[in-house]
Order: sequence, then structure tokens, then C-alpha cells
Amino acid sequence: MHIADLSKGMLGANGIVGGGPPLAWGAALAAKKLGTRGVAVSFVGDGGANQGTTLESLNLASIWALPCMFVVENNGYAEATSCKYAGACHDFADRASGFNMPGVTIDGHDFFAVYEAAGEAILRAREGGGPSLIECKVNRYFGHFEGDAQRYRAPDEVKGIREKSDCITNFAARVSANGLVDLAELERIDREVTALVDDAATQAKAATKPVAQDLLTDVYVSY
Amino acid sequence: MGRTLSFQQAINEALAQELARDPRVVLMGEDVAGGSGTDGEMDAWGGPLGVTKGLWSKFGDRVMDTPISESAFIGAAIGAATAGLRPVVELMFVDFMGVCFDQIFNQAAKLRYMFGGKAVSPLVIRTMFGAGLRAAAQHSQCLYPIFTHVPGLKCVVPSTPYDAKGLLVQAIRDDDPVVFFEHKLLYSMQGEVPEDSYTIPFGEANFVREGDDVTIVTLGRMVHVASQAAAELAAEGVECELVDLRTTSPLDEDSVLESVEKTGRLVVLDEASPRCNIATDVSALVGQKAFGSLKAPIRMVSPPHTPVPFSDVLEDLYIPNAGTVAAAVRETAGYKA
Repeated sequence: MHIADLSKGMLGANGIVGGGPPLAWGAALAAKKLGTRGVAVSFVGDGGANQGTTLESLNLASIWALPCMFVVENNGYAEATSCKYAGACHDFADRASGFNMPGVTIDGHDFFAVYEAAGEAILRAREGGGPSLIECKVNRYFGHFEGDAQRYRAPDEVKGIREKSDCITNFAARVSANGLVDLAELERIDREVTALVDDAATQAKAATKPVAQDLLTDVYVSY
Repeated sequence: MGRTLSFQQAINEALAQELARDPRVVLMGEDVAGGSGTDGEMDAWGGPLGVTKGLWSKFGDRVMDTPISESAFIGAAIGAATAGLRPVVELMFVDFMGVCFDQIFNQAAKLRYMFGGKAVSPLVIRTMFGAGLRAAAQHSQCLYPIFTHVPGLKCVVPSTPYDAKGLLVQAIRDDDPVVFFEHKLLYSMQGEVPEDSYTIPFGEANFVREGDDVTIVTLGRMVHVASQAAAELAAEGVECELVDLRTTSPLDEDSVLESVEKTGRLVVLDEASPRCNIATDVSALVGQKAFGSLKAPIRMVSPPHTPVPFSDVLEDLYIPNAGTVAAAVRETAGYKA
């Protein structure tokens, strides 16, 4: 869950709902002060969108015109509660106007819609136009945790989504129908990625277990 | 042999009985029912581990799912308590206190004092804590020392199904803000629990085991770790007196001092991080008020000063176990000045 890759500027997935947006506008502040032309991107779900930290971050990013993009991945469920119950707005993107920033709601299953909306927001942020809010309407295939029976969902809900709205299937169909990418090429990429992931899992499982002194590693830089 | 319930059933029963007894009692929290606004079943979760399952079905809109907005709904529980309700609000994991702590320590804990004793805020914050579930650094902490530090809050850390029910009923009927800590590894623990409602007063420790050689003071899940160590030590001829604090605020100073005055030797076992925790607090108490009775230096057993690790190997090393407790007791028992 808590993946991070600082070498790529990826500050980590967060175990605290709404923990990320303040970090993102902080990263945007750093980019602005350091003149890196970097743009910070923060991802929350429809649950995190209702945290004070998220709303406070939208406000701050806006008043300081920070190079920042806030993404709400709205999959309809915060844990076991519907966003229709938990959110007072129809679309989370509607909240953007209250913070004086552009906000759009797009189909999050559509690769091209995401690419275009994100590209526009990143370009605007990089040119000093301040933050944007993008709400991606998506779905989730799995429960909130391993073993979540998901009885709060309608029967066959996931099946229907998988059949009609799978982002990767739809992407493959669209690019191959247009002759942009050969299906065989996509299959080759799939095999390559699967091998990469399998290899990483095998290596991780075969790796040496940590030892007692690792308990006190990385708590501080110096102590 | 009386009726047996699990720790989580005992909590569920206490909540159900208090909801039935007092119409001012309401429940709030993330997915305390689960399923609100969805096309599927309502009361689908009853909390992430099913502790409040079935209460929505019995009590309807007095059991309220909330958005993931801890500052707002914990704060709302404090406001509602001050305005006449008796809310029991769930902070799913105590680690999430970071999101809402202002409302707890600057509002709930201070209102009565700052308003000249005119405010009464009878709320209970139920929260899950503790290591051992491979839930990593942001879902495994034992933060009760931080709450214990704050005047105006009462802190309860039950160790058995019996205590969980009696202390929770007491917490709901108490007129002060109470933080009620439930160790996630205790939920499945079975124990005798009377069906009729009962209360256990705050500030009264439980003598789990009596002995003359060494006092072990502890709380929460560590009571069972200490029990296991005490059983091993008894076989070696070392008799431990095991004191379960049950509440850290108020703290039953008398029981701790009485036991140490008898044994002259103290081990304090605490699952919380070692700096400024309950072990240091109890040690300071004994150092100050029972120094003359001590025959050996006080020993504190706590995890190392590091976040709770995700790795199973490291987490097992992190949590104090019967072996580490027994070793500390042997050292104390064998100490010669």
C-alpha cells in the first residue's frame, strides 16, 4: 500500500485519508521557490475529498497560485459508504469554483480524457496559472481491504463494470481499431510487465528477512 | 461457568444496552453501520471489524455513518455532548487522532474548565489501537499516553471482555469526555460477561494475580503477556503480583503503591513507545512515593523508540513478549544491592 519512489518525485501513498494534499501543495511550494518548473499532483478518493486537509490545501494552493493539480478519483465508495451519502456536492469538481480554480469532471476510465485534462492542468500550472481540480469518475473492482465481502454493493455491480468500463480493455480496443498500435504489440507489453512484476515479487519473497538492528534503521537521519 | 462473549461482542452489548436505556445516546463514525447511500445492504460492516454490527438495524438513525471527516464528526460529537446528547463516536484507528486532535484536546478537554464548570461534555471516543496485525506504522500505534497527558480527558484501556463491557457502560454514563481504547488483537478474546448491565468504576486497578516477590504493572493486551510470563515464573518459584491499571486517567496510584510496598520490586510493562509513556509515569510515581520500599531498580519493558514496523519479523521483535517480561522480572528478582 505505502509505495513511494522519491527518485521519481513520488512522495508515497498515504495510510491516512486526506494525508496527501497538504504534502502536495508543499511540494508545489518547493517547486515554485526552487524554480524547478515542477508541478505537484495530489490524488485523493471521494473519501479524502471530504477531509479538511484537502479543502484547506485547495484554498492555500489557490491563494498562492501554486503549480499544483488535485485529482479526485471518485470511485463511488469511501470504504463502505457511498459518495452520494457522504458528499454534499453532485460532482467534486464543483467545489473548485469556490476556491477560484478550474475544475472538470471526466470519465476516469477514458485514458485520453485523463491525458488531455491532466495535460491542460499541468501546462497551466507550469505557466504560473495556479492549481486545478480534476475529478475522475471511476469504479473499483475490489473491496476496501482484503476479504471485504462488499455487501454494500449491488449484486453483479462489479461484473457489469468489468465488462463495459475496463480502462485497459477499452484503450486497447480504441488504439487498435484506429491502427495506432498493433494488438500484438500491446500483448507483448503485457507479457513484459507481467514478467517484471512476477520477477519483483519472486525477488521480494526470496529476500533475506530483516534482522533486529533494522528496527532502529531510518527512524532519524541522525540521533 | 457463566455466559461467554468475545471482547467485541461485549462492547457491542454494552452499546446496545446503553442505546436502549438512554435515548440521548447516539453512535457516529466511519462505517459504524456501513452501506449508507449505496445500492447494496445497509449495516454492511458495523465498523471495519464488525464491532458495531447490528446496532443500526436495532436503533436506526441513532447509529450514523459519517464521511471521512474526523475533525468535523469528532468535533460534532463534542458539540452534541455539550448540548445534551451522549454520543459514542468512533475514531476508527487511534492513529487518526492526528486528523482531529484539536477538537479532542483543545475543545473536549478544555470546555468545562474554561467555562467555569458550567459545561458538561459526556462523550465517549471509542478507538482501536495496538500492534500485531501487520498493519504498519500508521495503523498500529498505542497513543493512550498522549491522551493521558491531557487534563480533562479520561482514558480507559480494558484487557478482558468483562472489563470492556463494564468500563464502556461506565464511560457512557460518565459526565466527562472519555477515550476508550480497544486493542485490535483482543477483539476475538473470549471471557465471562454477565448479560445484565453493570459498571466498573474508573481509577480502580484489577489485581489479576497476587504474589509477594515482584509487582508487574501493565494494561491492555499486555496484561495477557504478563500473565503468561507470571505463570512461567511461578514454575521457577518467583511469585508475581500482576496489576492491571484498566484506566490511565484517573490512575489508581494506591493499588500500585500498595503492591510495591509489599513486594519491593517493580516491572512496568507498556506496549506504547518508551518515551513519556505509562511505564515512565508509573515508575516516576513509585520513585517518588514508594522509594523506601524498593529493593531493586524499577524495570520498564516497552518497545524500542521506533515506529511500528510492517515486516512480520520486525513487528514480532518490536512487541514486548512473555520472554522479555520474564527476563526483566528475573533481573529484578535477582537484584542484590
